[in-house]
Amino acid sequence: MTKNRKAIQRKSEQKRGRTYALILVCGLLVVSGFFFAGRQHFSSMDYGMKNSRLRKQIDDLESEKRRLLLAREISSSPLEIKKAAKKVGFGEPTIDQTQMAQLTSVTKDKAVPPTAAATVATAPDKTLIERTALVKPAPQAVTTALANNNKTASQPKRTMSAE
Amino acid sequence: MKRSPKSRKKNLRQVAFTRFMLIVAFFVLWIGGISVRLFHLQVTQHAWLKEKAVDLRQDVKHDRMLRGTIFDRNERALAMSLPVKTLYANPSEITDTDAAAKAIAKALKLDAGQLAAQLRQGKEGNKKYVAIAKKLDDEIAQKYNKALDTPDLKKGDLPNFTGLHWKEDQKRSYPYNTLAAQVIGFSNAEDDGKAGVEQSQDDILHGAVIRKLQERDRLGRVYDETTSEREKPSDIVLTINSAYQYMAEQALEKQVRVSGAKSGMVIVMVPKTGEILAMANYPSFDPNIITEAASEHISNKAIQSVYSPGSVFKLVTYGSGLEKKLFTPNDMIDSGNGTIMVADRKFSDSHGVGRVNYSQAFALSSNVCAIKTALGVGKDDFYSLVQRLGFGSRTGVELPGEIQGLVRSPEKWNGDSLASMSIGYEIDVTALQITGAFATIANDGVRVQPHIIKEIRGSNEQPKTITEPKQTQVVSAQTARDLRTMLRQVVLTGTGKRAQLNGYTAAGKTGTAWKFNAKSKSVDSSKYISSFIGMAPADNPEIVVAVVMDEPKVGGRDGGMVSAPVFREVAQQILEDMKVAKDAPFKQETLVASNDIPETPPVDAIKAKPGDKTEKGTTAKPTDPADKNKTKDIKKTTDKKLDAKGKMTAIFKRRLTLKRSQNGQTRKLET
Repeated sequence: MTKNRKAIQRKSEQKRGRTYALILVCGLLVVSGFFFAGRQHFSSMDYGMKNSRLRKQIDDLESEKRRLLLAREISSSPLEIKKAAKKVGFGEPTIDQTQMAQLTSVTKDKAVPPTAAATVATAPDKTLIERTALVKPAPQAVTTALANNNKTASQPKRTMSAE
Repeated sequence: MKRSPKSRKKNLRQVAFTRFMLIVAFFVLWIGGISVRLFHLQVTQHAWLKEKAVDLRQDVKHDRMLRGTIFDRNERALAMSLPVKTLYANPSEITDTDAAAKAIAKALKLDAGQLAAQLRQGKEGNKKYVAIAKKLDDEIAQKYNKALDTPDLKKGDLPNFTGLHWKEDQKRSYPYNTLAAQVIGFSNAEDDGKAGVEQSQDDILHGAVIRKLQERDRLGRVYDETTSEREKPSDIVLTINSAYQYMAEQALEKQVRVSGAKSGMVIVMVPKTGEILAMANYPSFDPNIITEAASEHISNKAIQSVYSPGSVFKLVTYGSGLEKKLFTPNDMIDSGNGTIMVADRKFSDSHGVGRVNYSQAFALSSNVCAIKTALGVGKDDFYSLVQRLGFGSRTGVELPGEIQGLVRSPEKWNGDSLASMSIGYEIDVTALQITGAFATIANDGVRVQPHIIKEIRGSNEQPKTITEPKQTQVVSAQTARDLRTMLRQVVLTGTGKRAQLNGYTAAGKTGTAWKFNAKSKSVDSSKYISSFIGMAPADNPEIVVAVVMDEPKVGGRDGGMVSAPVFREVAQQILEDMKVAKDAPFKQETLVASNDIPETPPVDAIKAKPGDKTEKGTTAKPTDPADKNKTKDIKKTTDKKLDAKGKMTAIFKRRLTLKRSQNGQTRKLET
């Protein structure tokens, strides 16, 4: 009788132990699950914050790109170039200077006799900038020489009958 | 007396039961209390609490996407939006408005009194938005953040100051200031296009409002963001070349100043594609400071104002004759004594040309020859070509407010209407319409719809398809070639000599028309519209340039004197820049100027009959006595019997010694 009771007691103790172990495992699983979920939650929040910061950074960089593009456009606008030119001492060309520039550019194409071209290029004028030969009107002699040269180069006459 | 073990057991059970029941009751009450509270919070106070929780955790932002950019054909940004910030106060968050106003004013250097009043007013009106500083750049915003920083305060967003917040905003910039201002237009503070391409393409450029849902933690840091997906606004690429636009504007401005004109416009167009390379108006305005712009300078006169084209319209007259094969450019026409009567009205030439060929008649801008040609063509054919060339209807260019001009149908014409129209009166056109007509001739008779938008670029940088411009054969290629030959003659020997180019052949027509006076209901012989519309190179035109000057006052006022030089300056530079092959030898321009042939409106032409209904554009007799003398002078010459060549030379010589009286000033044209 006692033998039987002891056997039963041992069996129930084993069962209880297993139950406790199972409860412990489950508890650990639940706790670790909570920990895992918590970790995931906080890391997702962290990623979210990083993401938000990066998005802001992209926006800021795009704004900066736009700002730089606009600054480039403004600095290359005629108004700014004029201002910059004035700062370094350049003035607006006069009509005579413009005409002279055109005249000389054509004389280059047409291979004007070296004497005439040289006169244009080396015509002295202390008041003007020396870097360019196109800043002063051509002397009368040059204009006449060029005109004659054009006439001889079988140019059509500027009269109605010739046209 | 001892209790039996049975009764003791019973008592113990009762005690245990009572205790158990007490504990149960306690738990029931506890859970019940919690349930009631939960019910109260979750059901009765649900909405309020949810709102409060969302308020604490979530931020809903409504931002407008940046407006699309407008580029020129070389990718230069002509209009661009930048993100900026607006500092605003939420008065409901501020407890002591006066103290806050004082602190803000001190940090931002504002008027404390005014600010306090604004905040008080906002608080009283339960406003949540009171703007303090609008559209600030990022740098300034950061400076303000530093200045407004409150060390003890913990706040989720900047500036770290109770009740102050930043709002994302945008600012439109036009880096080239006045350049192509009438074409680009401008947009207002609400990002609505109000003129030019900004207005016509507002649907494409307009930035949609996007909703941003931001989740914040207790420190105000954003950890989640949901943005409503909306398509980004598209960018627009114009056909305008900013360099050519600048050239055109500079040349125009210079000439308007020199000639004392009221205003002027230049259009540069590619005839083969219909692309508008430049559309300049002077005076102009700066869209960056729109508040300072005069309203009359904002409108794009090239499409929004009409004028009588004058002799430029003879292109249509001779074109209709050529198309009907009534003559060839070398056939002869006799202008007789330089006058013609049509329906009891006398039209005359300011300078008689006698018997000349059609090319010469066109080159010298003879009114009589043009009228004779138109009478030969007839009402219907003339009107048909006027319509086919696009007069009286909008060109369809992608700009707002384009007007269609005034072309009456033949049923409404008077007896002399055909004659008047043949010389460019009784008809109102826009500068773009007449440019389009010349472009048609330049393009071998094929009319290509003018357009100013080259490409609409989507958010993915890919161009969206653009409808190809309409192409219509208006006149035969032969007619167009003949007209170009005649136009070439105008520049070589006629009224448009100042349009001659160096190294390129040019063709074009001058026009000098009196302006219509609304008060007197007749034309005002003291006010002119002087124009020159030309193309180059003459044989295979790459560009068409139209120059229209409104009321030039100083010096020669005809189209050949005022507008042709602008054409020359603009066309010369553009052709060279486009690297168009030179097709003519170099000409020294200074030699040309002395051989000018002046062009004036029809002297002694039409006088409005008393009681007549005078239409806009009808010519009237000028009151200048000098013009009468001039007519007599020329009449003497035309009476002489000369062969065509000799006659032309005689006219030419006579004209060179002709004393012209204009505006009280006598000017002698010298050989």
